[in-house]
Amino acid sequence: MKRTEREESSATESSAVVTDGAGVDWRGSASSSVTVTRAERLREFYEETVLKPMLVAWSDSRTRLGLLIIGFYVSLALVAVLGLWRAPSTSQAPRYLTLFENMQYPLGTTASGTDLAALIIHSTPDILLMVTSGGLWATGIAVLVGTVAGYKGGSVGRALMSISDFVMAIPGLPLVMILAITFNPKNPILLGIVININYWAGLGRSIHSQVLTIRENNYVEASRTMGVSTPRIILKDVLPNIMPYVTVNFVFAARYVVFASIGLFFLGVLPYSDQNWGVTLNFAYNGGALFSWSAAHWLLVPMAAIIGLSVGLILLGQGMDRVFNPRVRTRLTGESASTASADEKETGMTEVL
Amino acid sequence: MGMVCYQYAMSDSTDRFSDLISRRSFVELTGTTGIAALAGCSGASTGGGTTDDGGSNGDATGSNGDETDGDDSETSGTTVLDKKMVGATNNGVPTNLHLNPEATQNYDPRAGNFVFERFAAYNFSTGEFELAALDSWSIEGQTVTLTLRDDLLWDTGEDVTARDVLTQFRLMKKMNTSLWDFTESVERGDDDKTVVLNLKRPSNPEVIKHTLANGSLRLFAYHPTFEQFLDKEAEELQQFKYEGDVVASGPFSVASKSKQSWELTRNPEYYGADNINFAGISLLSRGDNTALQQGLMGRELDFVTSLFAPPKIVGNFPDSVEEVTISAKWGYGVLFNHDDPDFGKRNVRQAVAHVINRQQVVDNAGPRTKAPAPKVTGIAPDDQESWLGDAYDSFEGYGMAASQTDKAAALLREAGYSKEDGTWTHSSGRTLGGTYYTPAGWTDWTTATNTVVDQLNAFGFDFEISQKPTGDFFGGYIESNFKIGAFYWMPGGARSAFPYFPLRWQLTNPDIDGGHNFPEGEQTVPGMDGGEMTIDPLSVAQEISTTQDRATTEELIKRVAWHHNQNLPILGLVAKLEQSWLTTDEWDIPAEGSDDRAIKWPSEWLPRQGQLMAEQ
Amino acid sequence: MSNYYVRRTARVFATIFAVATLTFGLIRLLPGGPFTQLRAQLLRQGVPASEVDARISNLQNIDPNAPLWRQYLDYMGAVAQGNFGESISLGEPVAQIIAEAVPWTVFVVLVSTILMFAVGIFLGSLQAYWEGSRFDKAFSGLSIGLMSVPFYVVAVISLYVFAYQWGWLPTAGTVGTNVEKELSVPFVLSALEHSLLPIFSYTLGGIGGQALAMRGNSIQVLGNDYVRVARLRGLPDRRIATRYVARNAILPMYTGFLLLLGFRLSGTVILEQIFSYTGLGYYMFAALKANDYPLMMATFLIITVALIVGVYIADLTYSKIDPRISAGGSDEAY
Repeated sequence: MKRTEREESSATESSAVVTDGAGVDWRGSASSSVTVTRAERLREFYEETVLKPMLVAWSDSRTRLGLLIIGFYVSLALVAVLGLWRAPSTSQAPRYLTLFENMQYPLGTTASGTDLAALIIHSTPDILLMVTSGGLWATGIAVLVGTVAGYKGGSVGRALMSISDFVMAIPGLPLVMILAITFNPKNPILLGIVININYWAGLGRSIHSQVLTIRENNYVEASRTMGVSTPRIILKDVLPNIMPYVTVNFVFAARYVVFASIGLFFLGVLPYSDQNWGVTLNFAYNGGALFSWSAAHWLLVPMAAIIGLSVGLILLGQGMDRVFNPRVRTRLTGESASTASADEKETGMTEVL
Repeated sequence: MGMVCYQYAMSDSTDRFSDLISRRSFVELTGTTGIAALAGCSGASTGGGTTDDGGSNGDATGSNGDETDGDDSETSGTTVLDKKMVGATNNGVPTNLHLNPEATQNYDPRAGNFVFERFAAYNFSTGEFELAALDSWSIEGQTVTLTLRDDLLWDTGEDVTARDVLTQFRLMKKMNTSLWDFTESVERGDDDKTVVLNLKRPSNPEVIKHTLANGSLRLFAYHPTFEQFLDKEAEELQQFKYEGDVVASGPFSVASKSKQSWELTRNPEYYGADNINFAGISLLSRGDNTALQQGLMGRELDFVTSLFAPPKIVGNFPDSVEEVTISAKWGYGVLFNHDDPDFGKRNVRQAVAHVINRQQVVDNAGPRTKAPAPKVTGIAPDDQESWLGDAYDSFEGYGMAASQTDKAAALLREAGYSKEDGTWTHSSGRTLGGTYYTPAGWTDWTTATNTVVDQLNAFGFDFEISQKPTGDFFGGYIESNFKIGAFYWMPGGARSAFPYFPLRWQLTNPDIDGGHNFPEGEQTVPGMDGGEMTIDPLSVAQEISTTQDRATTEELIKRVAWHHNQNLPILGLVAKLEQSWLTTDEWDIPAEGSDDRAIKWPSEWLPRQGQLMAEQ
Repeated sequence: MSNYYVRRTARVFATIFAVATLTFGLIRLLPGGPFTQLRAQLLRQGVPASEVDARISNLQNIDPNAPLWRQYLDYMGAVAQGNFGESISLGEPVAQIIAEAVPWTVFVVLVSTILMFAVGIFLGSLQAYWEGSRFDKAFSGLSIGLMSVPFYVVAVISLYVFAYQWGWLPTAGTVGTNVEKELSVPFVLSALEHSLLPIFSYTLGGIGGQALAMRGNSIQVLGNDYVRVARLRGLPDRRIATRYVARNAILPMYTGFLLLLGFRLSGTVILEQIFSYTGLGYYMFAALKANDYPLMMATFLIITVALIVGVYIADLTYSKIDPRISAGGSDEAY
């Protein structure tokens, strides 16, 4: 958001490229309602930050597809939670059934006669929990640190940024490995947090520098002159401005959790008590599924589950990006995409610095 | 399979070298011939290499090779083919490994087993011992006389003498090896090739033979290299990693080691050198099972000493890859903490045994390479019938291919448990269950664990599986920090063929420092023919080791085995077959079913016997 | 202004110091001493348990039992001198192991990251140039697809196909078995051959993201006034494309590149494992499995330093790129 001023001038032109043309100036409105009642403000806040963006989001095909995919996974999770599909267990079915060979076990079975569909379905709730908690943790801490440091500046800001630098400097995957072996976190929520334990730092840094720009804006200046308290300014003037960025990065943080956790499960580093996609992948790999068509489904099914979820997350991220920034669609598309470019946690890096 | 380039440069002992650490030290040692050889090699290997000799070697190498070849054919008439047998080591990166078998870590037995000769070997098929470095062994009273082969030489050309063996045995004393469990002293015999062990007490010949034939006991102590350690602390020897040459007693000498591989060359001084018609062995560094499996699949490897391969992978190996299975006398079992209020109870252990369907565990975890134990005791499945004889039928089978839930339920009720909300609960309110440990990364074990826990939970136990990294896994057992978990139920290897070893092992479990807390002293179990039997299993087991009479030995074994069958110090479920891999497209090997293949490991033993030769 | 650089540089050292301390503490938390793994390994090799005990008891001179503060001081002192101690599991100086491992990892990470950027930038700018075309749409879809496949999946599959099935490329290691380590043609060729698959798998997945980033940046730049002005002035397209668009679109990605290098170093823990590629990540994982404290701390630290230096360079250069965020300028407290 450093180039805001430059953006303004090209805004009209950019929005012309937006297919639906539904440019919502939610940013300005969020900061204009100083005198309205609380209820009105809340409703307006809801309409401007939830309803309208949602409507806009739905009009974008990528978001729609992304939401559909995520919705599919959520419904899988519901199937598991409500017990609508049998739980996975060894010797519950003939061994090595392939895809659709026996419609009772549509996705086939493993070498130990476990229903693959059951394995996938019953690990979905935990994976979604893990992904959500990891995403929330990363973005939550990042927003807290980034806005406070950015807005307050001075020694507080410096201290917080030093801490971020420090945390960011710790190599992510190795750190997670050590923590996983040490604390043996099997709870999916905890595991999500552990995997993203230092993901927030990079994001916090980028939010910090955005806030640095935002706080120079006239309306923030105005609020400050009017004697509005700091937390209130952060909440009312600063946060709405970075929300789109944060939402998009929530999605990418979530995707990182998927990649990292499955990778570590695959290596056999993370603890688990019930099999999940990564563990199934590991078993299939070691069980020779890579070498035999008759067992390939054992490997392909969890791979498809992983790739499907990350496609959903990426589409959602791409779509939301545009929703939140109708005027600056192109710029953010680029930036947020670049943040998702690698499997490491460089989120936000590309544009902060 | 492209030939791996080799060089003959070191026919002279002063030129031979071992721990090649850097290119520079290599150059210093071997001089120009070596460089030329290597230069030739590099060119050849990037070009893909061929099995034929010729073009790949530079002039210098050529002449050098001719020399060596000439020597060999003159003395032996064996045509040595310009070809290396390619295997793998999964013990790490060769530059980080070494060949001091007594060192605490990073000794690589994959290379060591080719370089050092063993005294004797146990044939898993015939149950007989076969001699290697020894010409004969005799056990009379408290004296064991070992006679070395007359033609047993170091690769320096010197005789292997009693002095070398005595040095080695004395060094082994510092290491507290099992040889010294029964040996009082060692001395030179009547001549330079004879060594005498004086025993502490009369000892069971089987125990002595198994100790001497242990695959990890190798003749390595070339006296001039190792005498320096005789009057040093043990740790000096344990940290020794060979500064200079490794002197070989086996069929191959060390040529070099790099990050990628060990290079071994044929040792012309070896007594069986005539049997070896290829130039050497390369052992590539390969990390995990998958890499080894894939190495066989792509025929990059000519052999793999020992490697687990699941059926789907075996099915995809090329026809030329031949599997040799050898009974491991080792396998998946259940370890109980005998101090636990629940699993310390015999009824609970027996209930667990009844519930587990061993056949199903095998079918899930390894139908081709695992077999359920017919009886649950401390004797390897293949040996149970022969050792137990008539008593075999009276041993409890605990339902090898069934979940005997009725019997289990009765046992639990008798011990004060009742089923509440689907879970067995003690009258004190404690539910029967907890964490079931299993080592991370042992995939076939994890499958077995999943199956066992599914079976137990379906019956009404309440277990949760916890995977731990191997070190941590052992650590938890050593500290007795567990209720129940997966563990092997026999120490494994040839020794486990003699029931004394596994029976005693189940009681003391030295691998986990006795962390399963099996109580010492007398135990009362139902008698073999009704009534009761009171036995101190450990002291009876000790008695076996000092009994020299076969009939008495059998009787004692039966009694301890019965105790184990009733009291279940460890619950043995499955026995594994070791899978060793050879290839037939470029190598001649004995036909399937041949007893010669049943010595561990075929890839190491067969070349020595002239049973594994390069095809002309 | 120079004050800022001094402060920023000081912070680099402070961070390294803090991370070294944290690393030290973290690794002590690992359950099981350094010898439990060794014990299990020896047992599995068939060494009788009594002998295993005897062997291990003699190894204790590594002294994991010294008081913690003592170990800490020794460690920090040694690290300051570039001495990382001796690896417990390998029995060699850690510095030597690391020195041999680092070049391979740096090579793979550097080349793959450069490739990833180069290909990504190329594709992205083509997409931006033909924005909205079928080509653009197809490649946007492809990019999203690439981003969704974790690199280890690419690694496993490409290893199977190219190395095992077709035998085009070696399956493991850093150079061929018979190639001596020296700067020669065969050595370089062999090294390249061995690094091809790791580099390929580590590059492929990243291309998508970079392409999308470049596309976005370029489209944004294309919409800027100065580009329109340039067009009006009648400057040739080529000049506009290279001088104005490419440059302004790539610049923001440059700092991301430096940071990515650091981050991608830690991903080698998984990558090098799959290819048995004996670089930093390989040893890091081996050390972790063996509870080899000295080796672990060193690999951890080296990766950390790379990260810190990346951020540092990025930081300094960033203030040069965007003058509106002057170095340390907006530090004023509200």
